[in-house]
Amino acid sequence: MPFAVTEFRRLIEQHQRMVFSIALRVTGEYGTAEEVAQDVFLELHRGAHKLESEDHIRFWLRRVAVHRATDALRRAARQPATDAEEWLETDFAPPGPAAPVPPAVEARLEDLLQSLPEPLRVAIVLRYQEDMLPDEIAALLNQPVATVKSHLQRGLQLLRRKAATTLKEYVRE
Amino acid sequence: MNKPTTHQTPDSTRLDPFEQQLARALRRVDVRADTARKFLALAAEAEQTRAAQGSGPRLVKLSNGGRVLAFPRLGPHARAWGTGALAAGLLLSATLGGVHLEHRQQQVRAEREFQAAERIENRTLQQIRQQVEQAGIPLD
Repeated sequence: MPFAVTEFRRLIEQHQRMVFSIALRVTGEYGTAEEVAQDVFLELHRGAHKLESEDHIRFWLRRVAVHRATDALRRAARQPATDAEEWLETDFAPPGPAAPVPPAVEARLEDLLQSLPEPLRVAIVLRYQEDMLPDEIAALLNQPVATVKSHLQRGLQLLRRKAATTLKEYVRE
Repeated sequence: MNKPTTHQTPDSTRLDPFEQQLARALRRVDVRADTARKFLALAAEAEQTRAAQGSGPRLVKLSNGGRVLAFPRLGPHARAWGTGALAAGLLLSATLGGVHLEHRQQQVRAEREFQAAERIENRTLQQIRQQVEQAGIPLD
């Protein structure tokens, strides 16, 4: 049996930023993220009786948000055409010492995130938006920790490379 | 409960400058007021749906414009009772149907036997009549 409306409202208010932000960063589109978040909360309403604690609810919400967002992404076939492997093998030079990035580029990083292939994007969002550790991400996505670490490493490499290019163009402007 | 948006967790001290910048760029976004209203409306909507589901069958509009009659989802106890009731109904129907069929068959058999007896009786009477006439005894 679904739980009380007041409890449902409380959970929505408490977790809407997390769920919506995951959906937005994975799908890259506000309207789609709204729909995804609504689906997630409806599913929460139907299945909340099985959730045992606040931690369990947060874990469940993150997992379902990622799954629903990637489903929406696949349905819309909005994945970037660029293949991460091609980038890394043909165009990527290993980064030197990490240089500070001007604040203006922070705004561009969010856009650059959308150019990453879906698995890398999801790992980056969970690591840097949700501040989750690789083993926590692995448990959430039901993937080996090594896979998650590889996705994070490749995602970061791509973002550094693209951010460096964007930074040059930004400075020239 | 929500993660702080400043990313000042112990783990963030191990992030290099680029990662720290990325973490700041990927802070959770605030939900717009209209979006928050949509989310909260879900609570009321979900409650209405639950109430409607408990009140009996209802018409549901399909994406192609058609409508179907949707029955409320039953709980496990209701499902068990429903299954039992359905089984009992089927058993009763089968039993009553069997009894009715047997009665009908007995009726048909009786009619046939009666008709056969009637034919035999008519034939016997006819033979007696012929024998009497041949003996020259007037019947009238």
